[in-house]
Amino acid sequence: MKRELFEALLAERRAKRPVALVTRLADGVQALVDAAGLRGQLALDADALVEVRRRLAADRSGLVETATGEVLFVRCHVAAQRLVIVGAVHITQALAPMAAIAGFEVVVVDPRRAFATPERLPGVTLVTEWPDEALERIGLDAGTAVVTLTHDPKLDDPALLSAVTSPVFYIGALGSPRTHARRIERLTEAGCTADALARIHAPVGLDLGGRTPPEIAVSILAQLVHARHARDRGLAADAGYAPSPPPGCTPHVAALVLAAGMSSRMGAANKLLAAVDGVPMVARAVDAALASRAASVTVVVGHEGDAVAAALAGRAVRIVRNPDYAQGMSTSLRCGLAALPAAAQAVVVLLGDMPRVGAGHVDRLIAAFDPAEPAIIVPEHGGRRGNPVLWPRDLFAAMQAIEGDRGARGLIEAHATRVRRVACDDDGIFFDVDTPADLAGVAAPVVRQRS
Amino acid sequence: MPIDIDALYNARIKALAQAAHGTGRLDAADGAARRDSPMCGDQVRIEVRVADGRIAALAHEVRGCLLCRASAAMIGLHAVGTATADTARLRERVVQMLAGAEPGEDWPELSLFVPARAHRSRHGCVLIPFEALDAAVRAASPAG
Repeated sequence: MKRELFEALLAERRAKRPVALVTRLADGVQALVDAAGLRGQLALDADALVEVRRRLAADRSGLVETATGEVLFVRCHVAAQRLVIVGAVHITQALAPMAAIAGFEVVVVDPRRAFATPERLPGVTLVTEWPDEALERIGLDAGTAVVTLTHDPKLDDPALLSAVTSPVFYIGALGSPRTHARRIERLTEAGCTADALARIHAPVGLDLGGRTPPEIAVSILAQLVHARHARDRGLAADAGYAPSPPPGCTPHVAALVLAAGMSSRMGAANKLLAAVDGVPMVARAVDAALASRAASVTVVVGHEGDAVAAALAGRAVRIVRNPDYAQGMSTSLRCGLAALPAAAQAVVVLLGDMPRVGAGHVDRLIAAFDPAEPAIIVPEHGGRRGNPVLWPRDLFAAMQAIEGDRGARGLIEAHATRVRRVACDDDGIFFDVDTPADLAGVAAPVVRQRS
Repeated sequence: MPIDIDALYNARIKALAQAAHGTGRLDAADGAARRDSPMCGDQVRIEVRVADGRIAALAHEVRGCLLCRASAAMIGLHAVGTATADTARLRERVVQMLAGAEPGEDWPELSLFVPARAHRSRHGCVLIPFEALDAAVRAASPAG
């Protein structure tokens, strides 16, 4: 390597400016490429420069073959990404050293000097200013991630307010879905847009099922690593590597099964518990949701709630009880929507009394969902609309405002321009069980139903 | 220790914090002081102008919890006109109140903070505005 080029490379690295060292493998001739220019002996044509800069933007080193058949090795030198952790809490004591090992430059912000001490966080840069002032001084850029862990809104909120309007590549906030719902209310009141707030990963971290502070730190770090390579995956897809999207990359669509109704037309027996092919009807709807690509399944029970919940024993679902089930389906919808994971970008609402709806129906709806253009997605067969329906998150509030024994059908008319229809091959999307005669008719078609 | 949040954050404390009397900066301050609470993280800065042995103008900036903002707002409500010689006694009054003494007759709102007695880690939230007030007044006094 030429001394001049080496010194230029060192200078760029010291200044933390991203730069790529390009080496022609045939003869070792090199060039230094950054966003603005090209230095060194190696000449690169316009196409090669574009490709090198694309790799530099994604911090993706590797071999590039030019149109003229030259093989170049591109080595990207990009400054370490930064992780700003707000809150010098127990999780931080585990996360700070782990993130440092994973290559992040870690800064911990906490004005509570009793917590932000070098004894608790040895070797970590500590900042005890108020979070928004601290973040402004630190400077939030596209190479920075922000995680808030104080559990104290007076500290977390100002940090998040700064982060959601900055170009940081990741924002995470500790707290349950309920805590996050209240946080969303406060930040909305403070002037944040829904788009900005949607950037917050909450509850923070991949759902690994861990409970202890170090386990939660692992789940946060796992999500950070996933986020750090988002652009990288984009590049890989462009280059035709066709990677399979990792979990968390696909849209988060939840399934909600309404199973609280009184089935008054069925007589005394609860239709949801009636066996269809030996399986209680409600369990069929839940199993269809579980077998689909939905990220989670929430079931609302009400009438004979204990018995319905017992029929679902052993299934990985969240059961929510609707004490007001007698007031109609809208109350179950409201209960269920309130219990969905905060990360859900959309929900597929299944009805417990539609035993011929399968995972395939649900997956068709999910496949048609595009978070960039969130539509109401309705299944259709022979020109008729059916159930279940997929609803984007921005309509949850309108769905929760429905009253009485009505579903969300009226909203489909009200938002006709946002409705997208998806064709289904069979009529299972119409078939619900309201009377004993319906129940008698369900068995035969079910056998033929495609899985 | 069970925390009686309702008593700690009673409606009048909330109203006081929201009213935020005295928030801001002075054009020309004679003295200023900053204090923080290491347990809760609150940060308070108080500026004063003094004339004829009394506080002539006061402004404060608080980044902090409800208790701290309410405490500073109480100062914003009452401090102008207070004798500079009295701020040390006021600070001591708050210390004693948190330790269990009667809140006294100085400022009626002081009794709102009685529930904080039970929460040692929150004493600083109530106290630091008074510490900052006294320090700001001392910084403004010619004798130092």
